[in-house]
Amino acid sequence: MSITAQKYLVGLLGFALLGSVIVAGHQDAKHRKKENPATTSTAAPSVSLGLAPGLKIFQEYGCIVCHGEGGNHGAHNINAQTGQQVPSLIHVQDSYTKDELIAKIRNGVPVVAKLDTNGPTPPLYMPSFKNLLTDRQIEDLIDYLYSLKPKGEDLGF
Amino acid sequence: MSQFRKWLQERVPIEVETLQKPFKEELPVHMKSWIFCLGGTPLILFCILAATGILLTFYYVPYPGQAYHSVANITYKVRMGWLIRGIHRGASHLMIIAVLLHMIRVFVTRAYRKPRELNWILGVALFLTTLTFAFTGYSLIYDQLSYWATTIGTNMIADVPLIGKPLLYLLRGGPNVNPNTLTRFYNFHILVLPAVIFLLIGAHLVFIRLHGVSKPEGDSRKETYPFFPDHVLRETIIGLFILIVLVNYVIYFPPTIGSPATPDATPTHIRPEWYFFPTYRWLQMTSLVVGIGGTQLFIIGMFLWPFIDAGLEKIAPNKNLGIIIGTAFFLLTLVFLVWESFIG
Repeated sequence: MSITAQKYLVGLLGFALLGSVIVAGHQDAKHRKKENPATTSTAAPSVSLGLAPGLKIFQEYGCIVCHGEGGNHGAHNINAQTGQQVPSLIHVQDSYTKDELIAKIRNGVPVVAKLDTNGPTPPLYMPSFKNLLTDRQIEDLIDYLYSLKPKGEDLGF
Repeated sequence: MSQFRKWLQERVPIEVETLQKPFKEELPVHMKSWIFCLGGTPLILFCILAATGILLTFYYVPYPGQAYHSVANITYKVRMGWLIRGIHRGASHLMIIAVLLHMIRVFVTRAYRKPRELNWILGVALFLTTLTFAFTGYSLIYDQLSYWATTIGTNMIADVPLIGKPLLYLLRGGPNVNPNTLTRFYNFHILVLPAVIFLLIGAHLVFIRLHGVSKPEGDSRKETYPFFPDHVLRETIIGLFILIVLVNYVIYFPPTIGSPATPDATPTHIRPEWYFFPTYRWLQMTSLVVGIGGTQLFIIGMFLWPFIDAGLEKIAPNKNLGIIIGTAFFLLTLVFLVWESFIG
């Protein structure tokens, strides 16, 4: 290929790249309007009416303080084995049966496993809700927690 | 202008001709073949990765509670963020492919032979650095897959003899994957590895300049052509072509993100990225000791290949044992890659 032909090709490809970037710019607004499925599915206000009592308990009894809005923004918990954070709750449906979760809410997690056994005791732990919540309230809370699992999540890029 | 040049020359006492010299170098005519331009392709991709990487750091927050959301923010909220992230990701994959293709070309044409053995070793180091770049970069997304791929990937380091455990602790910043791991990987990804790759690329180029471009065996042509503008134009064409492919790929397949990393919920099916498939498949097929030991031997073999090949040539001259062994290993790697991609 001659030098002149190569120069023309560089110009041509330059225009093609410019065109591609313009198309990308045109698509930009559309892409940014798309909401993140993982974020929307965990957003607290989007719960259906049936889950509202569970959300109310989650907020009023302070679960939200440590586990964060939508159970997905765990507070920092120094030296806790769970990534030094209060665990996220969005996958409890996969990790616990209903009975296990009832037991966990009733008994709490008084001792949080240390990341470094020689390190400090993690300051945050889960208290017992045995005397605070009725069976019905625990059921409502679990219904809400199960609803936090991201829907239609697309793993990978 | 001449006064300004004189002023500058007094303060920067380097002759203009000295600066122009690398651009005036004559290249052997076989370099006109596109396949011999593969060496410049990783450098082009590295520049694309550096530029997009810098832009991504404007919005990325390397802390577990925020890393995932900052990536989601880049992907769904930041103007053209999806494009920048998509190009960064695509270019990282292409970089691995480009380095591999370049290595295959060097291997097949046996351009690693005396006196270029050290440059081959630098090339292998560049390949491993590229893989480390990809691994640390993937871990920064902090979604479920990236978190668990990091956990499993770093677990393997523990089995490296002698230095495995301290190295694992150094990388993770603790016995398990924790917030320190993310900040360390971020540090490696944007500071340590760029410095390492910059030095390696520099040394690689210096060696090419010192020895001159190698000629394929049996090529007796004496003609040459200038580095500038001829070769620079060819590399520019490749660079523009890559950018067009990347932008259009991202337009049609924009990046997304999985659910946030949850340390206490292991996903049912964890796999590394495709470039680790051959190693992953090999480790699944063998016991841990054989798997790790075999991988380490393979890497050592890659580093020492010019000397191994020279030894094979002495043992059995003109039998092309090196090419046969290399091809066998390449095919085996390809089989593992395809196997893990479709069946694993």
